[in-house]
Amino acid sequence: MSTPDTNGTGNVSLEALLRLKRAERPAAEFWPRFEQELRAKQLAAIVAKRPWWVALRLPQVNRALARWQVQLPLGAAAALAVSVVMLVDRPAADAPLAFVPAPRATVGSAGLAMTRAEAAVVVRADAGLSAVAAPGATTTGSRGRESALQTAPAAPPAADEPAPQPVVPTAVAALTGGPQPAEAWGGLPPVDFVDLASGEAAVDFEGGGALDWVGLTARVAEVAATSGWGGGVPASGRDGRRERIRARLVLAANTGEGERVPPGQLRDGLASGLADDRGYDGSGRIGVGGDRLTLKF
Amino acid sequence: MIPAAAKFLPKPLVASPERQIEAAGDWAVVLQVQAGDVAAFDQLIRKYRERVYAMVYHLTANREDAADLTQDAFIKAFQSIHRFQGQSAFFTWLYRIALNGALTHLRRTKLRSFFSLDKVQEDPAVAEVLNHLTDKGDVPREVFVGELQQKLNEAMMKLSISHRTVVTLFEIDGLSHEEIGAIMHCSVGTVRSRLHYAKQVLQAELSAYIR
Repeated sequence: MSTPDTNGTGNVSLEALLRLKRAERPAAEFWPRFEQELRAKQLAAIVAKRPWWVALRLPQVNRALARWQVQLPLGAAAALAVSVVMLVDRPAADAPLAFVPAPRATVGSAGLAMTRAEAAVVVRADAGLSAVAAPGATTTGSRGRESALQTAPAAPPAADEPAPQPVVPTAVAALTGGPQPAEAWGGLPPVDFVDLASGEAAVDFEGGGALDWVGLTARVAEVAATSGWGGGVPASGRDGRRERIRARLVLAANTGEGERVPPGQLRDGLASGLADDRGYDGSGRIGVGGDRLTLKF
Repeated sequence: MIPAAAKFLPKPLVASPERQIEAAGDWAVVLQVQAGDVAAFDQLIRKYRERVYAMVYHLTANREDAADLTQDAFIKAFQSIHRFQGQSAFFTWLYRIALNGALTHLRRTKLRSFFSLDKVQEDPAVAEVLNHLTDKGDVPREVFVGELQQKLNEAMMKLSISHRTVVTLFEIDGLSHEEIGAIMHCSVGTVRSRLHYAKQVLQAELSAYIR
């Protein structure tokens, strides 16, 4: 007898063969083991830490954003904005140096006791010192406040007053016997300055934020004093590296503000430091080409 | 007590009434799981484990791989069930997860796949076909069944993955064209076309057994 799937020739239909394939099933004892393994995997999956991008639930966020149809434009705009901001904020490679706050710098009575971090102080003149430190900000550390560091209270500027000027030249001028800040800036609100007449100052930049006016003033004034500029405190140790740093600081303080400090004073003050630097620069004049040793004078 | 799932029923399937009733029941269980009754997911596991396993097994022709992939599919479904919103039947969604896993596995192990077959469980319909095939032969029945099983699986493996999937879902799992289209994200026409082509290939491969 033949069924629809079979005939008398001993052959069957394709559907009948596929029914055979369907009959390939695991034995009954397979399923308890399957369930056991599934439980173990389920527990492991629950315990396993899911990656952060899964925790973000991006589909939900996307769904929420899709209401306003802003998914792609918003993402693109955000990426563009970040790129533009990064490009605009990036200083040019050849830009003059500006102050970057050192993490910690201590000015002692006998002169500068510079930390290694001070070597990282970079000075950019175009940024202007006023751009680095907000006027009136007094966020120095707690240490040494009661010392000779004297700060005048910063009065709030009136609306019609001109924009605050850089304080460093003022401080330097004050230190070197020039006009006092209020006079120097034509009645501007008194700015912080440092009187190093006693030769003692301690500034702590532990705040870590932008260099404040008091700190900046103290630093530059001290540098000016110790480098023999005006009637400052004589420098005790004059190794070349320290002098180079001092010279850079003073240069930065006066770049673009030459009219505030007499150029002659600046030249005199820097003369000794630059003289030391020349010795070090001399090493760059030695050249080796083939079998010749050349010296440039 | 099953929550009032009637008003949350998913979109009506283009499927048999039995499937629609089944989908409604599944949706109620899914709502329970989503409400925090994690144990309710076991009902879904027990209900669909054989079918999911069968689909993966017929695609891979390897029972160990099939077991692993089935377990992975259930775990993925469990982890993602809070995102299931009933826009399709639960079994369609689960099949889709399992199918994706199987397809990924197949692509990864294209060159190093080997058979690891389950035994043919003889029910009356299968026994009748086997009786007919072994009537006039001298080969012992068990040997003949083993050979036939090997040939069948070899013929299946000669199909492309998409054609094999259509044959598996239609001929072996018994899904409708519409359901297959929903699972495979393709039109019913595509399903029919693939099925037709796949049958032609299989008939050519199994011509020794087909009338």
